[in-house]
Amino acid sequence: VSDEAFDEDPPRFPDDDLRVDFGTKASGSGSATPADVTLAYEQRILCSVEAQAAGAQRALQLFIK
Amino acid sequence: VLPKGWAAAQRGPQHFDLASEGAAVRARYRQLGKTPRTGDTRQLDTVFDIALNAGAERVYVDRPYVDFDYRSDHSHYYGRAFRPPPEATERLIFRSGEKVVGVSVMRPLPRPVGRTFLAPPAQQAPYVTCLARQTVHAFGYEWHVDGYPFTSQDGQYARCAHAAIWSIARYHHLKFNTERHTISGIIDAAGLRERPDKTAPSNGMYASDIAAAFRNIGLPALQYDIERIPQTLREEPHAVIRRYLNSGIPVGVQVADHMIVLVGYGETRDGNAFYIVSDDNCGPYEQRMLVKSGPEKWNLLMIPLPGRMHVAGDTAEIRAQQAFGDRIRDQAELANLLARWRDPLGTDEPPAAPAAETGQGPALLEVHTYATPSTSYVSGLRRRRVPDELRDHHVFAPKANWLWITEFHDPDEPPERRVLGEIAVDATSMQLDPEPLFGNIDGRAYIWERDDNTPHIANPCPGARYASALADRSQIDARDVRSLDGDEDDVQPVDLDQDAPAAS
Repeated sequence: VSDEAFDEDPPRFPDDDLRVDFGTKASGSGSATPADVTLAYEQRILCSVEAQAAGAQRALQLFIK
Repeated sequence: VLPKGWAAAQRGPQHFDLASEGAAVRARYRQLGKTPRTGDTRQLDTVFDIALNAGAERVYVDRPYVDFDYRSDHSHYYGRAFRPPPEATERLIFRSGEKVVGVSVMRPLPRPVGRTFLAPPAQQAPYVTCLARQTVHAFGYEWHVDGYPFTSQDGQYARCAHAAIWSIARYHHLKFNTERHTISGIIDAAGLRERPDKTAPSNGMYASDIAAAFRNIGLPALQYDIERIPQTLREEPHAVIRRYLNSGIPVGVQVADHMIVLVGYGETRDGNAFYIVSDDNCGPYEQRMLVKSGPEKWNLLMIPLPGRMHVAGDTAEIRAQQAFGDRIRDQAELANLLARWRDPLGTDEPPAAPAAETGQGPALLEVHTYATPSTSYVSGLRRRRVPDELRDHHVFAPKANWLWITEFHDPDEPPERRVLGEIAVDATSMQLDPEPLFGNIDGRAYIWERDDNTPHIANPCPGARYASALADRSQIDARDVRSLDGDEDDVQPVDLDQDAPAAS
C-alpha cells in the first residue's frame, strides 16, 4: 500500500470539537447467520492451522543448494 | 581476473553514457566472472539491462567504496584466505536526469554483483508490490531509490537461500524498520553456530533451516505446501500469495533445489496470474508463471512476517467475510448486497442471485485482503477519498498495531467508487479466534468489542463508496525491452585509471 501521496498533504490536528459517533449496540441476540454457515466458517479457520502445519512438515524434506 | 586498478581512488566523478559506453563499463566487471567453474556474470548483464529500462542515461563509477555487506563477508570468510580478495568494492550509480534509478556494488569476486538496489524496469514496474526506499549518498548529496534489494550469491560463503533471505530481511529493514542483517548474521541465525575462526563454505540448507533463520532474525515465516493448498485451504495458491504481495510482504518460494522471492504480481485478461520474481541467479525483476508440476515445480511458500501478526491472511479473510455476511443478513436495508454475495463455503443457505452468476444481472461482490500497519492504514484513508465521517470513525476506533483489511468490491463501479465496505481484523489476535475490530458497509460504520459478534453501529454516510487501497494489477500492453549494444567478448573494458592518482 503506497503512502507516497501524503507528501503533498501536510499533517494537521483535528478540530477541537470533533466527537466521533461510534453508534449504538445492534439489537438482537448476536449473530444473524444460520448455524450451519457459522460452523462452516469455524471449520475453515481450523483448516488454516492445518495448512501451516503441513507446510512446516514439508519444509523438513526440501533441500536448497 | 581482477580488473586493472581495482578500487583505486578517483579525483572526481567518472561517468559514462549508458547506451553507448555501458558495454565497456560492464566488460570491466565481466573479467571477474572469467573464472572456471565459479564465475557467473548473468546478474551483471541484468543489472545493466534493468537500469537501462528504468530510464538510466549515465552510469557513474564510485570507487573505492566500502560496502557494509561485502566487508562483513570479508571479515568473516574471505579475509582468512592466504590470498584474500581486496577489501574495497566499486559502486555503480545509475542516473536518469537528476534522479538516481539504481546502485549496484561490484565485489572483487567471481560473482561480482553485490548489494544492489534498482528501480523496476518499465515493463515490470506496474506489477511490483514490494518496493522499499533506499537512501543513496554520493558526491556530497543524498538521493533515494525505490526498489527491491538484490544480491547474487557468491557461491562460497553464501548460497541462493542466503541471498534470498538477505533480500527479504533487507527489504523488511528498509520498509518496516526491522533490524539490518548481513549474510554472516543469517548464517548464524540458521543455527550453524560457526566458530568465528572456523567459517566454512556452505553446501546449502533445508527449508526448515531457512524457516529457523527467519525466526531467529525476527521474521517468523508462515509455510505452505503449494500442492496441498487446494485441499487444506480450499482455494488456489494465487489467492494465498496475492494477500501477502498486496500487503507489500515478499513471498519466498522453494523451487526444485533453488529459492526465489516473489515481489509482485499481475493478472492477465483471462484471469491467469504471473509473478515478478527476484532470483539471485538472474535478477530482481523476472516475470514468471507458477509451475505446478515437473522438475521446476514450485513446492513451498515461505512468508516471513515483519510485525506481530498472529493471524494468517486466509484466516483473517474468512473472519472478515463471516462478519460481513452477518451484517448484511442482519440488516434489511442491506438485503440487496446479500443477493450479490456468494457464500464461499458451500453451505445450504440460498445461493446468490442466479442472474449474477450468469453475468446477466449485477456482478457478484469481490473480496480483496491485505495487511498493513494501522498507522499506514489510517493515513491512507484520505488519499482513497473515504468520506470524512467514515475516516474519523476509523481513525478514532481502537485498533491493533497491525491489521488485516478485507475490502468488499462492487466490480460494476468505476475504480474511484469500487469499495462498498471493508472490515479490519486484528492481526495480533489469536489464529483460532481472529477478532474483527471495526469496519463499514454501505456507509454504516461498525465497532466490535471483545468476544461480541454484535457490533456498535453508526450510520454517518449512507451509500458511501470510495477507492481501494490496492492498485489494479491487470496486465497492460507489453513495452519494448532495451539492451546494451555489444557482444560480451567483443567489447574492451573501459580504462578507469587514466586520471587516477598513483597507488600508495
